Amino acid sequence: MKKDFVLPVIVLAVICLVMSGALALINHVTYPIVSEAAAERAELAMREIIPGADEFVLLSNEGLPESIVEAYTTSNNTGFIFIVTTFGYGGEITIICGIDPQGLIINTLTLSHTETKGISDPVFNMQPEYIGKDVSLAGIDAISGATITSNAYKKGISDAFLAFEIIK
Amino acid sequence: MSFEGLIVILVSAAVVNNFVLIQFLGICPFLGVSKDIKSSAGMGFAVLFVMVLATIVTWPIQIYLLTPNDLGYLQTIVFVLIIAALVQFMEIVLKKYIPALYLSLGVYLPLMTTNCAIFAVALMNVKENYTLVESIFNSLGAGVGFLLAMVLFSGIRKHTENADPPESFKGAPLTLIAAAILSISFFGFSGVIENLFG
Amino acid sequence: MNNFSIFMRGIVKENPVLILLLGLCPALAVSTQAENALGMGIATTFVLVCSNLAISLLRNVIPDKVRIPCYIVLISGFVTLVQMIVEAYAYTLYQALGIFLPLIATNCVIFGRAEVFANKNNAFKSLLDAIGMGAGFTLALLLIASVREIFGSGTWFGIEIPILISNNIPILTLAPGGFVVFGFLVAVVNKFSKTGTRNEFGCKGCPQAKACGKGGTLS
Repeated sequence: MKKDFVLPVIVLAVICLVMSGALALINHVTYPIVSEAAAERAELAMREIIPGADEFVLLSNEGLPESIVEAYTTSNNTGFIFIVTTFGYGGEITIICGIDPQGLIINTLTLSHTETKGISDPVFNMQPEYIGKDVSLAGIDAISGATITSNAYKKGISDAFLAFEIIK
Repeated sequence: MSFEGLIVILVSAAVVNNFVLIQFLGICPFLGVSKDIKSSAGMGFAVLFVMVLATIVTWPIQIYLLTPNDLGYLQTIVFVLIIAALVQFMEIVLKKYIPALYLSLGVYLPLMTTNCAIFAVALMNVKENYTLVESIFNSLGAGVGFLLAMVLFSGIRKHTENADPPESFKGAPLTLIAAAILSISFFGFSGVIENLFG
Repeated sequence: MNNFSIFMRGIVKENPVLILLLGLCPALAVSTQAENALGMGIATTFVLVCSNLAISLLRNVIPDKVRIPCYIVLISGFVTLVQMIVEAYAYTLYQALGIFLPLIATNCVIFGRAEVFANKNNAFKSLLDAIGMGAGFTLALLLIASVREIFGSGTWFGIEIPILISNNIPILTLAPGGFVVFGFLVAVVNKFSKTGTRNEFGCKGCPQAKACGKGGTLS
């Protein structure tokens, strides 16, 4: 009776251990590849925002709004980059926003989102309109029919400006 | 997060991004068990219950155990095992303490183990970086949405039973096309949520 | 049953998606583009092969009591393996498959074959079964995806098709389109096959019915 109980548990435990061990090994191999690729993609995105920058320097998040994931400055003072997360209705939207030293938006792109295609498209399509705007974001109206996504986006950009004020 | 935000999460998981009709999660039980209202409701409630329970157990394990110890790659195994164990555990508890509930839900419980919707909701909570409260609202919404889709669909199926389609369309194809039409009707909700709070 | 027929069965007679009506979640969700469908099919086949082999080799070692948890650990483990490989070496596919990559772990096809075949047959036969079922799954997904992509976006594997691209039907790439295309495909299969599809989504046909212990009471 006792053997009836012990053996199955041992078999299960062994399988778990072997599996976990194998996965840990594979993880060891693939993790560096994954993080390197992720870093490359991030760098590419930042270059797209501020093409004239030479090096991006990561800043500490201390004192910045909670929604700021990362903040970078450029070594040749061409601007600052903020990676902000904000909540649409489908989940998190991650925005990358570049602000130049004078406080005007250089460019803004969406890194990821899960909003409904079709309905939220106008919000993301109007990203070019943000270029050159200052902290007042004058002239950017919420898109009717996509209010939650629009407001989420605006909030994200506003948070980027808040961070900008603190950093500069 | 504001209460408003929580309601948005709930409603969007329930209707706009309905798990079954829009995201294609939990299709097997949806198509298999929706033949009559009683079993549909039973299945729906069982899924809702397990979803919320699964969230309450998996979220803390991910946030306090897996992520801090760089064990993120064990997520799949751990989550699926937890859900399977939860289902077993629930069966035993219900059978012993709430026999009435066990009798009505119990039949559907073992099916929860391979129900991708439950596993999916647990994964989503982590992926979207929700807090525990947001996760619970998310899974509540998902479960309610599943229940809603199940019950609505069972009503439709009752009618298709009396239909007389061409021979090759009898059974599965007709059911699938009915599901397609129900899915289209749910698309109408996307406009609603976007303007829910002004 | 000879080895070749074991293999072919998975592709035609008992095609998991079109005849057995299993693994429908990924079949409908990932089949918006042929490229993603192919990727998903290959990933699932890989897991299926590994799990069938492992379970078949261990079939005399795993006690019946802990059968299900052991299968879960093995299958989820292989899925995690695939997740890591795809994330490292095929990132665009990783993004396209999204949440459905880990969801392979709850794919009824894999569990079903483990329960019904791998734990009763030797390694070689199980391997053939896995490759056959995996190929059948992939082909079915490719079929659905091709229809949805060609008529829904006017492209195929990303290559634009002249007339269709300006006259595409976007709803085919959305949820309802998935249901409809699949429904019509099953109807076609019904028409041309002698036995027809399972025609029953119910528990009766699910290979897990025995595992549930509830086989036959629902449908």
